[in-house]
Amino acid sequence: MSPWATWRGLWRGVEAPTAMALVRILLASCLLYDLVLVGQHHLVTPLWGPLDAGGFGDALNRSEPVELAAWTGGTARGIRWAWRVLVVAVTCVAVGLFTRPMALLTVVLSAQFARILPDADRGIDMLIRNVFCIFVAFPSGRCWGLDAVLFGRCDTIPAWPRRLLVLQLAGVYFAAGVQKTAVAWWPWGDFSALYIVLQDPAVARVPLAGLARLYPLTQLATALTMLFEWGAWVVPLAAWYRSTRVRGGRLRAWFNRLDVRTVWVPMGVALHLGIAATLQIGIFPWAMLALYPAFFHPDELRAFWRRRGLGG
Amino acid sequence: MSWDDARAALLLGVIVVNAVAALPGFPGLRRANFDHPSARDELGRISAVGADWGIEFDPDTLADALYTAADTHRRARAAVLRPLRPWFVYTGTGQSWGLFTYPDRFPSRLVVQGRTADGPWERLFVAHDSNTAFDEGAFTYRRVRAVYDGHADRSDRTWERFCTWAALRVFVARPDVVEVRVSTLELHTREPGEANAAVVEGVERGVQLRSRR
Repeated sequence: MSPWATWRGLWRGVEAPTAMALVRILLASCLLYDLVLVGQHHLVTPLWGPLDAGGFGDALNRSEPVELAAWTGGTARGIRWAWRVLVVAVTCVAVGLFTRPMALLTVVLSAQFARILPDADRGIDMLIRNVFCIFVAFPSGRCWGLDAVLFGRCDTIPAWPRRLLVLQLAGVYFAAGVQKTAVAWWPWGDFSALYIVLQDPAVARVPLAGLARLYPLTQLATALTMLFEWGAWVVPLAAWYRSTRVRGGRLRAWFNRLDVRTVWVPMGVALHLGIAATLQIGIFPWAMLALYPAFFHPDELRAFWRRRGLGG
Repeated sequence: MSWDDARAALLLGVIVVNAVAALPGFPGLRRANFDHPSARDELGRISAVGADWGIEFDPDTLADALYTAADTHRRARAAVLRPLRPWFVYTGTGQSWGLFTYPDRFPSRLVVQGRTADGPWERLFVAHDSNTAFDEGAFTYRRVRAVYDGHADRSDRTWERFCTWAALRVFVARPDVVEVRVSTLELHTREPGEANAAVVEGVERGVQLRSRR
């Protein structure tokens, strides 16, 4: 088979929509929770409002002004309305109502907010926009969403969105690992990175006075984090081998005998739960875990639910 | 060309572009960044590792070389991605990932203090101090933290605006307070094996005063 035919075949096919519907619901719920926190703490105007209303950013007086600031008339009231529209759009994505246009609206509005105050836009916000771009491209709301009631349920969706998301996640972790060039992440830096991070008062959840006693544990966690992130590339490779298991090859056979996800995915879950327990960095760990259903084919998820008597 | 071909071609383009975007972009790179205490500390450690392996270089030479390499790489990456800049700008998408790339050995602790007309300074919010947790939910919210964390020592406008906002929060909640002082305390985290191992509280930075008008 030619390389092009192989590549083309990688993105062909359909599958049940459940895995991506689950990702949509969980991810949109995380973003919605985050936006509600902004409202609860009265932070819309400081974070994104105009300078004269107490905003941290200065979106109107830049060499490249931000459109949202102009569209809203440069007023705090206008920005608060834009935030409400964003909340409604994300809610619609979560419940699967007009999912594709609402996902697009979320991407565009969220990007505008990011431009108003780039400091307040974190990597997880960018990742959410990347994933929502994928949701624009296929009808995820027609499974476990109100779009299924309005427009009819989809029994199958294209398989490429989930495969692209797996590649995206592997890219996130691998790039994050490659960029960890500080000596503290490496053996010659004594694997001290997490020990240092856990004592940063801006991000650590609680002061860990006795952390020195747990130093070897933090070193082990640092090493495992690096192993997990640098090893991310094996996940799409393993998925490729699983989907082409009829072909020969010793490496393919070995990968298919040992499903690397049974090691790698629990490591990821442990990493993010560890982050959630020890660091105060908002929705990051939960939004990452919200993407994890994509690592499994819908048939695998269905089998998992059946084994636990949850139907499917 | 079939639909399968078109889709495969489109996804190939998307993946190639995003792979280029995933290369480090070094936003805000300046030679002066290498003179920050955290960077000096890191350069010193790299030099020490090099010396252990028999490769001698001083931190300044290393800083110059790293800056030149990073700047060249940044320009090349930007040139490749320039035609697609509007897409990345208006969708806010990209592939710049890095979580604690450089663990900060010189982190800072936010301190918000208030003073009544005839009283002493009272600590209202200090990170990691449950006795001084005024408006903790807002001060520790991830987007707000990103606004002040690391800004105090750059004396930029964002820090000044943040301090004004923090003072207003205090003035609204505490009518008795007439003056608010916002600053950060620089810390130095040392590893257990290092001399004077511990977290050491150092100098106060970015002090801003606001009075009730």
